[in-house]
This record gives sequence, C-alpha cells and structure tokens, in this order.
Amino acid sequence: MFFQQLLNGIVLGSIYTLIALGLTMIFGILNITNFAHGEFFMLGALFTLLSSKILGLSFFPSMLVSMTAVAILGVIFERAAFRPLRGSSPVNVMVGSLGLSILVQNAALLLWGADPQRLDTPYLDLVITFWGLQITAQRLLVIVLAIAMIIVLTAIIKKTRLGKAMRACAQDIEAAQWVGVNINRIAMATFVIGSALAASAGAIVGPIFLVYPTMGLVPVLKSFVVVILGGMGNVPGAILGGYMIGIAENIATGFISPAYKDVIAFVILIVVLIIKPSGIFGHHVAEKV
Amino acid sequence: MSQNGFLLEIVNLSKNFGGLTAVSDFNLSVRRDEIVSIIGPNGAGKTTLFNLISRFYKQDSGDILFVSNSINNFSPHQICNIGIARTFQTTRLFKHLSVTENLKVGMHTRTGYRFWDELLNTPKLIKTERNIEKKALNLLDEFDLLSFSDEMAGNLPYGVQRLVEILRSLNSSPQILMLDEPAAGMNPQEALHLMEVVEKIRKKGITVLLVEHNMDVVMEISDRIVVLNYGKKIAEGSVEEIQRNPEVIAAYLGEDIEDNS
Amino acid sequence: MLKGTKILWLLFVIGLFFDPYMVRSEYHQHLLIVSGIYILLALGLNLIIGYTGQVSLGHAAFYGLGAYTAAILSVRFGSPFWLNLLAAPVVAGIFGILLGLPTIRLAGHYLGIASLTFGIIIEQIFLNWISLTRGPMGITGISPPRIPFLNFQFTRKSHYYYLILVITLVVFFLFRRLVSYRTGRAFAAIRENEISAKAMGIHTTYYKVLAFTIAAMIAGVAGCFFAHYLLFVSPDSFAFLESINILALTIIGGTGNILGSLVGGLFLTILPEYLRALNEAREVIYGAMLLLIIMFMPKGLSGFIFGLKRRYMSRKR
Repeated sequence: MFFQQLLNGIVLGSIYTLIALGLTMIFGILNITNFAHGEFFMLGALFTLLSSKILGLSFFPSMLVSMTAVAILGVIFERAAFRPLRGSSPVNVMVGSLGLSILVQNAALLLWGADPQRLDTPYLDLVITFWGLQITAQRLLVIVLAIAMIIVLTAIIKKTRLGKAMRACAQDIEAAQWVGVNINRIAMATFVIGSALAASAGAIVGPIFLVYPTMGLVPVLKSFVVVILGGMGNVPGAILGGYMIGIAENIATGFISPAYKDVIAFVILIVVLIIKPSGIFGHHVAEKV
Repeated sequence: MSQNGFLLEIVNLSKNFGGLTAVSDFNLSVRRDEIVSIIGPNGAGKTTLFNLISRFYKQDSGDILFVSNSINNFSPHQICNIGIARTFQTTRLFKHLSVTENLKVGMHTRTGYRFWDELLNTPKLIKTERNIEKKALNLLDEFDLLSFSDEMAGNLPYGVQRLVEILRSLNSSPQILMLDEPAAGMNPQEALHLMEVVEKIRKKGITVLLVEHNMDVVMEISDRIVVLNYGKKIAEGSVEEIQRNPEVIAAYLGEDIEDNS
Repeated sequence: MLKGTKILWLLFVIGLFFDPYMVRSEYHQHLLIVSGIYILLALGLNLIIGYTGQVSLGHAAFYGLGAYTAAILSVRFGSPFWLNLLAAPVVAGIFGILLGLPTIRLAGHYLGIASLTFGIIIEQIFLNWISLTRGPMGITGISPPRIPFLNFQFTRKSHYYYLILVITLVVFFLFRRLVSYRTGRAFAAIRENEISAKAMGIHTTYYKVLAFTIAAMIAGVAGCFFAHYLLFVSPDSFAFLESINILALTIIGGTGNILGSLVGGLFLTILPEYLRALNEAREVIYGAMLLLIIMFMPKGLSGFIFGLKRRYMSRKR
C-alpha cells in the first residue's frame, strides 16, 4: 500500500517537476514570477487534443505539435508582455503575469468552452503490474517523460553555450550583458524551454485528468511550492522539490485525509517562506546597506 | 550627564563576514561638537563601521555606548530616537515624495501626537502638523533650498539630492550626525558648499562623524581623523599628524601601486 | 486639496445621496452596492500595495473571513448586523497580523507567493472545515440588518445602498486621515526606501503589519456587509480568482491615492455590466486591461487623471 502511494507520488512529482523546472528557470534567469505558467500546461493539453481531433494525429505527434505551438506562444508572451516589463518592480511583473493568465484562461474558455473534454490515448487502459504495484501505461509515460526531459535539460544547461549563457544570467544578469550575452535571445530561449516543458506535462497528463481551460491553476500553484522549496532559480532543487511534494501529497492523502490534501503543499510553502525563504538549496542575498 | 564627556564610545568592536574580517578591535571615543572623519582605502571597513553603529549590523564582539549607555541591543529604527542620525553611501531619498515631505519624515521620532490624534483630526494634530511644515520649510530656507520645497526629490540634481538627505537627517534633531561619503560624486563647487553645510551643522551644536574619500573636504573640516585599513585603526590624530603619518601614506600609496598594476 | 476639487467631491457625494430618487432601478442600485463593496476592498489593498509598497495576492481571504464571521455569528448566535460589523473586522484584522507578522522579512516575489498561499489556505479552510462553515454548501439564513428602536428592517435595495454609502464615506474619511500625517508618511517612506525609513526611526515592522491589519479590517467590514446583503455566503466567493479580481480593480483604478480605489471599485464594476454585449469576453478584456495598464500606465487610471490635471495646471501658469 505504501509503495503504491509512493509510485503514485512519483507520478505526481513528475508533473510538478516538469512545470516547476520552467518556472524556476524563468525566475532564476529573468527574475520573473510567472503566474501565467499554468496556461502553458493547459494549452499543452488543449493543443494536443486539437491536434488529434483536427489534424487527426496520433498521441505523440500531437504532443510534439502542441509543444511547438506552446513554445511559439511562449515567445510571443515574452516579447509582448514580459520584455516591456523587464526592469519593473516585482509587483508589476507579477500583476502583469496575472493579467496574462486571466486573459489566456478566459480566451480558452471563450473559444473552447468550460466543459472538460476527453483526450483519448491507447495508453490509458493499459495497466502494467510489477512487484505487486499497479500503474497505467499513461502514468508510467509521465515518469518516463519527466526523466527524459530532465536529462535533456541537464545536457542543455551543462554542455551547450546556451546553457552557459543562461547560467551566467542567473548569476548576474548585468555582468552577463557586459561579456556579450544577448539577453533578448536568452529570454526567448528560457521561455521556449520553460513553456515546452510545461506543455509536455499538460499533454501527457491531459488524458488522465481531462482537459479544461482552468486546469492549469492548481498545478501551477503547487509548482510554486516546489520552486520555493528547492530555491528560486535552482534546477536540481526544483527536481528534488517536485518529487518531495508529489510524494508527500500522495502519502498524506493516502494515510491522513483526502480533504485537506491541497493544503499540505501550501502549508509547507508558508513554513518554508517564514523560516528559510531561499529554500532548501537556495542562498539568500541580502540588500546592501 | 555622561561620566567622561564622550558622546559616542566604541570599544573593541569586531565584525567578521564569513572568513572576512571587516572591522577588527576598533576603538573610538567621540566628544561633543567634534567633527571626526574616518578615512581609509576602499574596503577598509568604514561603511561597515557605520552600519554597526547604526545597528544595521550586529557586531561579533565589542560594545557601542551612546552617552555612556550601551546600544548593543538596539534595532536600526531605535537609533534615530535617541539622537543618532545617518545618511548612506548610495542616495536613499524618498524619490517620489516632495523635498518637504522628505524632511517631514525626518521628524518621525519627534512628533508629539498619537495615532488617535491622526484619526480624529484633533487640534493637537493640526497644530503639530503646522509646526512640522514650518520647521521643514525653515530648515530648507536656512540652507538655501527653499525653492526646491515642492519638487519631487527624484527630479533634483544629484548634488541637491545629497544635501536634502542630510537635511532630512538633520530634521530629526540628532545629537550626532553620521555622513557616509556625502561628497561622493560631487564636483569641487558642490564639495565646497558641502563643507559650508557641515560647518553650519557644527554651529548648531551637532557632532559630526564623517566617512569620506574626498581628501580636500576631510583635511579642511575635520577636527580629528581616524584612519582604517583592513578593518584596523592604523592612525588617529589631527589633520597635520595624519598628513605626516608614514603608515597612512603607505596604506594609500600601497593602494595606488595596486591600482596602477 | 484645492477648493475646486473639494466642491467636486461634495457635489459627487450629494449626487450619490439623491441617486436612488433619480434612478429608480433596483438593478442600478445593486450595481452601486456591489461597487461600494469593491471600493472598500480596493482601498484596503491599495493601502498595502500603493501606499506601503508591499504585495498581497490573497486579499479575498480577509473579505471571506469578515463574511464568514458575520454569517456564523448571525446564524448560530443570532448576532445582529451592528455587532457583526464590529466583530468581522476584528477577526479579519487578527488574520491580517497573522499574515503580516511572519512574512515581515519577505518582499517582492516571495511576499507575493506567501500572500497568495495564505489566501489559498484560508479558502481551503472555508471549503473543508465543514462543521464550522458547512463547506461548499455555504451558510444560508443570515438575517438582514435591523434598526431595533425604530423596528426598521432592511428590505429594499435602497436601504442597503444608503448603508454601504455611509460605511464607505466613514472609511474614506478615516482612511484619508490615516495617510495624510505621520502614519501616512511612514507608509510612504517604507515604500520608497525601507532602509532609510528605518534610519529615520520608523519601526518598519510595526507599520508593515499595521498596513496589512487595517487593509484586512476594511475587507472584513466589506465581507460583513456582503454577508448581510446577500444573506448567503459560500467559499466560491472568496477563491483565488476573487483575489485577482480585487487586485485587478486596485491596479487598474490606480494605486497610491484614494481616487484610484474609487475609480477601480466603481467603474470596473459598473462598466462591464452595462457592456452586456461584451459579457462573454468580459474576463478576457479584464485580463488584457490589467496587463496593458501595468505595462503602459502602472499608476492606473487615477495616475492618468492626475497626470492630466498636472499638465492642465502647469499650462495655466
């Protein structure tokens, strides 16, 4: 029973991690708290659904089309909304991202209606059993996707010039500019990666939880917990934090009470913010007096 | 009255940041009506010292006494109330408030009325507010800045901004005024004006503690100079004594040689 | 305030008192009542964001706490409106301290996330503490306000209209005094430069918590009125989306001045209702407005109005 919950927790954690990775990168590199990030998740699911329905594609091609479409939208959002806000106070950026979130969510509501829609894949009904544990193929795919994305992302960050430039920006964006890093390009790349990651999560999870315009709200809030826990801007922290929260949530649901299950993550968040806001792995930079 | 006539006493003060020693075993006693300048190469610990005295930092060891009472346990906001006011290295004006409003904030610890006076608009409030306005304008007038009174502080020329910051602190009726690099970024004309301002402040009976890099200013107005290097006091004395002190010369020349290489 | 502005305000208030006689529409009065509630909510949030420079993305929590306090007291203990009007802000205010004090060292992004989370936790409590709040079913059967010695029961919309009008005016008056003198200067100083505010002797922790507490209390008053107007409260009305709603009103209306909260609460409640044709796209327009305003007019509509006034005045000289 415990291990089943643990496995479910790993599935949940994979979802949170995929969303949180983009969120933490966008914060760490661009200093943006993007409350509209959940919309990338939602659109990932929505566009996958549309691709399969309208273009008649099977699941994985639909997912790729969707991820590409969302990445393009990510670039548009960055250019149109976040670049003009670069340098504004954190409040303004947060408010702007909230405005964007409302805009996108309700546009989706307007265009496609509020009714949850089914996204069918052949993997939903396929149940895999091993070591006394059960998992549907779709849920297993979530874990596989997360691991794959983590590997790809780590490779990008550590092995490519882009990754190096991103790390430079995360450390000191001004200094990075002086040594010739093009901030606009980095911003674009960060949003492409972040939004694609979230979209992939939405696509892979859509079949499990149904697709509807407000589906991004709760996952992105939980992902903020992950980001804070792991340290804003800290990629390994987001990975570890994602799985910690996913597992904690599932075990709490299974063993304590399903009623307050959403609260657990948020209580953890408040406690972390009060005690060590920089998270488990982050470090605090005090304002110079 | 204080036992030995010292307004501010710093005793064996030390502060480390991680492995870095910022201030080491520092001692200083400041009398009333003195103008004491603290000088030293960059990174010598001067601003750290200011931050320690104004309680923005807590020291690792040592004591700070104001009028013979220990202020070791004071929070930063409690310093102004007892009579220590300070300015900062970087301009910390309230940029979107007018000059007059900036000065009025200086009177925060000297306002007699309470919260209920504000809500109920009592006569005491009205009278006190009128006095606060008058006091602020008089102060501006005294230093020839009255024409700027309604300007938004952020719109002022840099030199005027620095002056307004000093006046804001002055408006809190301090016993000791700590100025952190007030002449930074000033041209010679502005620096000259600054010296006049400091002299005027001294004439009001206020003790001035100055951190400054501009040697013309330091040599002109200081009664006493304290020299810091690597967090330690390496010299203390009158202007002439310091100018002739070989260790001081070495400390500054040493820095110059590093800069050239 | 200039003499001319004072006269405008006076005329405006007089106009408001005569409004129910001029426009005899219950729907119109309902809109104004709802505007009144949102003006109060915007005013409180404005104090936190515009005056003191902090962040609060969970303001609906205080609104809900006020409403639920009134609802529970009314339905369980038969407590009358006037008593609840005192109790609701106290309860909300306590929670204001509960948010403001532990988060005192947070700012910007972190404070935003903390306040948002606080709002969610409170919402979850409304949803899940069934024995106290009846969960998603909500609380019904709240009694309308009564004036005991006159044996007067609040039945018609116009009664509620005058009630919220008076409450709003009182809050306005007190608010204006709050921000005009020493306390107001302390708030502004913290917003402008917290470190030098401390150096000027301002107890920043006290004032930051004070801002949160007062804002919460005003929201609590709004919540109490809401409960006794709608006669029904449920968790839906106080979700995260409602917090964003209040935030949008506050920002679009304008922060840092009282006019902004008036504009935000009034026009942004009334305007969409009268633009019925756009009802479907209303939220989309809302989101777009919020984004555009923060990008191009961060000081909101009132900032724009004051800008016009400044240009007009300087041309007169």
